[in-house]
Amino acid sequence: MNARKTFEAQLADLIAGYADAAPIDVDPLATARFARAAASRRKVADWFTWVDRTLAVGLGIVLLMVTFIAGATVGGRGDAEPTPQASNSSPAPVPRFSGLPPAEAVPSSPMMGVLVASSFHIHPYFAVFAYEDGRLISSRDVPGLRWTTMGWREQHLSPEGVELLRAGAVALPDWDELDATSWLPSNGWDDAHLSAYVPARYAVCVFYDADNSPPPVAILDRLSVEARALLDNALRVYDTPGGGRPGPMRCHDLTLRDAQALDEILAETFATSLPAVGLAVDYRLDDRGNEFLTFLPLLPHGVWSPEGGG
Amino acid sequence: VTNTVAHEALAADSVVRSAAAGDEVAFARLVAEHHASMARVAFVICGDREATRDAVQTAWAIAWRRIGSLRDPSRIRPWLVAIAANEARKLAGRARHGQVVDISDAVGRADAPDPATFLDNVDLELVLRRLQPDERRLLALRYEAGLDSSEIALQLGITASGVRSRLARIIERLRLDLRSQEGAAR
Repeated sequence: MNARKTFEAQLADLIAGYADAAPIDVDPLATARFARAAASRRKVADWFTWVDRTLAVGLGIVLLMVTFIAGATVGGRGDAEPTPQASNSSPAPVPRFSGLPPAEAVPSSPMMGVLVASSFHIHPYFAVFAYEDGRLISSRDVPGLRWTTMGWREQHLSPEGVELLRAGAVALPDWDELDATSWLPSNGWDDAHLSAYVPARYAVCVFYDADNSPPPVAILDRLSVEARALLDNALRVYDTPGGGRPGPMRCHDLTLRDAQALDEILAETFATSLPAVGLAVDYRLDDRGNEFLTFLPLLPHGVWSPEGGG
Repeated sequence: VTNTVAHEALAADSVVRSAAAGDEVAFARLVAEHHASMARVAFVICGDREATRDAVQTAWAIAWRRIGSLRDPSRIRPWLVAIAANEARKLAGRARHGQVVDISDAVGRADAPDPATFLDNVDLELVLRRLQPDERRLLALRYEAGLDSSEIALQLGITASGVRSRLARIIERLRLDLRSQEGAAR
């Protein structure tokens, strides 16, 4: 053991000496400007190499959680705040809400959906999903506001519109066309009106530190019997990588009603974390900040992020 | 002292949050503080100065895009060096088939630097080239960046026990390799 320690110390010295030849000169401000410009130029294809995927999913999670915004017809349980004015002229500001949809909100139907076409871009951010049942669900950032999106909105395609997309005769709109209806022939629409997408399901996920946290089951033991009963009623339970957060997570897919009931219970006991960045619901379960319970709105095809998850 | 440390931690936290909000000056402060660490780690993996520059530059662009996903600002350093290490690993993986390290000329050169130091460096260079980029990444994160196995595991998305066992195997191979070279040199 001692010999190995000694060798490790020698190895560390050797590596440090070797690394002294590294090019460490840098102009910090120029590098920052380069990074900003490069981030703007990068295309989707460059983003999703296999190494990038995990963090990209994390960014997707942040985008979703930061931006669960109900439309004008749906009020949140939490505080409403006006969206700051964008630097560009369109689209019009929409009300922002935090928290889950209110009890009276009608969830999107059907609960599950089969994807026909989708499109996603990080910067500027937009995501759009078309489903076999005619739903078109989209989100986009507010021009000029980084990481502030319009939230998920729902429109309805006619069967003809679905077929046009399925056949590839029409492509899904780009960022600048997303709020227009002209990208699709008029007979392609059943209802082009943009309304808030009310998720029928939420992924309620325990984030934890794999090395320092107790197992998820033990973490969930901190919840009340009523809260655990709601989680036990999950449509499915699964483990998934952390996706940009410090640790893996165990997720429970709940119906909107169960998620709302669980949210009510948790709000009485636990603090929400990082309210400043507008997370929909994110409860801290320990003092160190290693363990969280987060509610992630699920799209009809069962993911919470344009790049997957769930 | 405790107050000073707490104040510095808060200040660092504030810089990260400002950078995440798109503040170029705050981001530049992160570059000034962490660029050298990232370059040193990348160089151990790439073994090439130009490739190191490319890897770290790409890493900064990635960091700009993703810094908002960093949950704990106190983990900014391991997060950044891991990004640089990943980019360096990619470049090293692309380049490794064409790279041959020949030490014979250098060893015999009259103007070579101090023989002891030089030999150490040449040995390490040679031995590092025999490792896979993934293995060099682990070594760099552990011994150059000084991250422990838990932190490496977090950054790479593998288990800490997996990190420890892989490192143990790599170290054993290195130990044998370096010792055999040492014996051959005598």
